[in-house]
Amino acid sequence: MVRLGIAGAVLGALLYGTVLGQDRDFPFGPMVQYAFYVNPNGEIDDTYLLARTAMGVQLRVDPTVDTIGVNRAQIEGQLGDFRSDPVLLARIAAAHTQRRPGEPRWTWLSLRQHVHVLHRGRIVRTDERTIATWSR
Amino acid sequence: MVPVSSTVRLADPGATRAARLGYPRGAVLRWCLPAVGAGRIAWLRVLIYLVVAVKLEWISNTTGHGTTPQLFDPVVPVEVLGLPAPTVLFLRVLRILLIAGALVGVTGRFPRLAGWPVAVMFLLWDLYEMSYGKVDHDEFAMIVALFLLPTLGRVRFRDTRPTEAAGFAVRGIQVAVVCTYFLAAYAKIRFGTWNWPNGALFVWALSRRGYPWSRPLMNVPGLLHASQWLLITLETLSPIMLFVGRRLAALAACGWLLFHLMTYATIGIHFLPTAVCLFAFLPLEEIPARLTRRRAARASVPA
Repeated sequence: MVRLGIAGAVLGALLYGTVLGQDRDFPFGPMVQYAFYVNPNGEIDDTYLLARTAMGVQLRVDPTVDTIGVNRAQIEGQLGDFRSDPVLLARIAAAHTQRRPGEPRWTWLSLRQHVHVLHRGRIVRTDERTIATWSR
Repeated sequence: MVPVSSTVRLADPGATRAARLGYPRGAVLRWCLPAVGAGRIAWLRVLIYLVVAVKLEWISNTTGHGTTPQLFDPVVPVEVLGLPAPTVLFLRVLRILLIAGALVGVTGRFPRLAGWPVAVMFLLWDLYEMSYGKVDHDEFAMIVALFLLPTLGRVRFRDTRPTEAAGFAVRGIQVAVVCTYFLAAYAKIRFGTWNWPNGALFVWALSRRGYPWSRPLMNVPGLLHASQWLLITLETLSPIMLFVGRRLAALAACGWLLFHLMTYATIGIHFLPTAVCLFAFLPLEEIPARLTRRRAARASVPA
């Protein structure tokens, strides 16, 4: 009965989180993997990060926890924060220096998006958007 | 010792208790504690603890989060417990302890001594991993499984004797897996509205994560549209797996495994923590007996 009671409590918490909760209620939050609606006549945002080294070399960053301490999905989850405070990009540059000390330091970072425009579920054109830019 | 054949009806304590309770309480109890051979837990321990070790070693890069404390956005349990942003050192030590504990778990020795710490440490690891702006939703079944696996002592791979403890643990993992799928369908309607299946979600996924061999699928929006309808229908029907016979449930589990293989091949998403828990639907405890019978059959064939 104790086991069944604990199981009931866990299921109850999960159902509560599913109906009323949000992601932050993990592990009892709603299972929102790919749960959002994408308008087949809307836009798809594809976020990416550009960096420039002290030598002026520009490169596209592979955003992983290994290289910069966060991955792309996590950056996208906090886009609003980056937009209102671009200095947060400095933290990413610092994390890269700490995790990849042998690589050239970044003196400029730009958080951008490819904006794919859809028509009836097909991509018909791609625009560019800048979210935030930081330089040393 | 006389070898136990899977065709012999073994004493089933769950059935005895259910018969005493009568209908409907007995039927409910029988469903909660199905007749599952204890050996299935031995196999699940190997698979699930192996995935924990693989995830910590090659997939989960939470250690790197220690370098970006400014991006720490704690999930509710972390806030409630008052846990601070983890340091790189703390995460490194936690990772080493987790991998070591998981490898002990794979051996099947000290299932409770290793299992309970692994369950708690994995939950802590996951809570931190999800506290940086992105929550993964393939972890629930794994977390539940890790807390259920240590509820039994040592068991042998070929042990087909049904026990209530094994039945409860297996049923718990199965329910957690089905919840992941069924509640995902609910979340699609809650957050994506009833129009979700008519959206362009799969185009979105392929444009951002597709490989050169899978991106051409974006040129067939009708196929992707139909696939969205198929996915939400299968997710909605997933609870049926818990009430059909063993063979149908195992077949359905294999279907979901193929689905995850396909999503990994097209957009690189493996859903491994949930996928490995699907093995709770398969009669793994019968593998040793089947292999023995096959070897005996081959040996008896005249040269």
